[in-house]
Amino acid sequence: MLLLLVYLFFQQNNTKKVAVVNAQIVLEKYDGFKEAQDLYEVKTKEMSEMFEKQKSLYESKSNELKIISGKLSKKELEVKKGELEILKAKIIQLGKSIEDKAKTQEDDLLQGVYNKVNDYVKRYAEANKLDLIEGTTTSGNILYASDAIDVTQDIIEGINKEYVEGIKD
Amino acid sequence: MLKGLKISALVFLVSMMGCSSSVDNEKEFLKWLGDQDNGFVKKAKANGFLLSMKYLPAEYLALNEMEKDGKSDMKYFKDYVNKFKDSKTFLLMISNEENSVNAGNYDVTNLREYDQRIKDLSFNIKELLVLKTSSGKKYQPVLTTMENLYEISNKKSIYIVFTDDQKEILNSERLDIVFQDTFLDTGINHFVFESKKINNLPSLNFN
Repeated sequence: MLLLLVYLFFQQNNTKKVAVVNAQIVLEKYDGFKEAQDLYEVKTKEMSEMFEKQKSLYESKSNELKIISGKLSKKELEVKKGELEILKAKIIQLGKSIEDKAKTQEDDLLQGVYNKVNDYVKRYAEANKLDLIEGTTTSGNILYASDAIDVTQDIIEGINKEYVEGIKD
Repeated sequence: MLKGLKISALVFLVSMMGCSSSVDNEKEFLKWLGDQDNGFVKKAKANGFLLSMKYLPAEYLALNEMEKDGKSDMKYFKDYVNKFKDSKTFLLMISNEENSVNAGNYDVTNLREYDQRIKDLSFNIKELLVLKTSSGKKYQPVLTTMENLYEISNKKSIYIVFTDDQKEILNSERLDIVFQDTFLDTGINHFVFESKKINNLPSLNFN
């Protein structure tokens, strides 16, 4: 009997506490992610407007040249065409730089979001004495997890509360 | 009967706890300001960095200034407080859980980048900070300045001052300071202060 009790005691102590979390849902419902998305859209919209402005300038200059080309000498036409080519190259360059900038901004914003989520999950695990939190995704390798160990909702509520109220010591 | 008495005692206790407390000296005042329950300190954490935003009331700034000016007589206190009462000052402290990492050297690979980071923390951070009032109005700081500790500690302290002519900031019920971090990978950080808390200072009974 005593041996059985000792066995059960050790068995209980050796049981690792595991939880699962749907990382995709956490991300989608995290207010920090939504705000980062909004910020990204505002920033890319500004850049895209700048590009469109330059593009329409090129288009109007190009149309203007078509209209006046008959009145220009061969040399004048060549100069104008050359100017237009330079403008076109600049716009292509601008487009490329905007694309790179947008990508960097997206990466930076997402990195901040991931770091926040990871930090919260780590502290959640420590506070709840969890040994392992598995992330589930639709294409992941966890085929089933009981609701009892699914902490997705708990994490969403906690991380959103912390996003506004901050962390407590 | 006994149950009713217990409830009355509890109500009394809670109402007593709700009253502003009092502090007798500067040290106690500092301790009180640092207590998170009093609502003057808000914290955010990510990527190993701890960001702590502390509201510095006019009374605290006045005491500091008096000390600098060598004035210990409390008769000057009110005049000094008046100098600061139309603005809101905050102190952002950034530290890392690793001693060798700080906001100045994180993700910095050479001296040029280090120089840029110090400029970012001292001046350009102004562009990344915004104060949102309850009505949704946004304000950028009028001043940001980093305390130079010459790498002595892994903590960087940045003073931030907000003010506006319409007194919207002073009258707002909620002050949400948003730091859109672009160099420490901590993302968007909110520090939300409730005016009813930060306007509820303890009585200062300094002699």
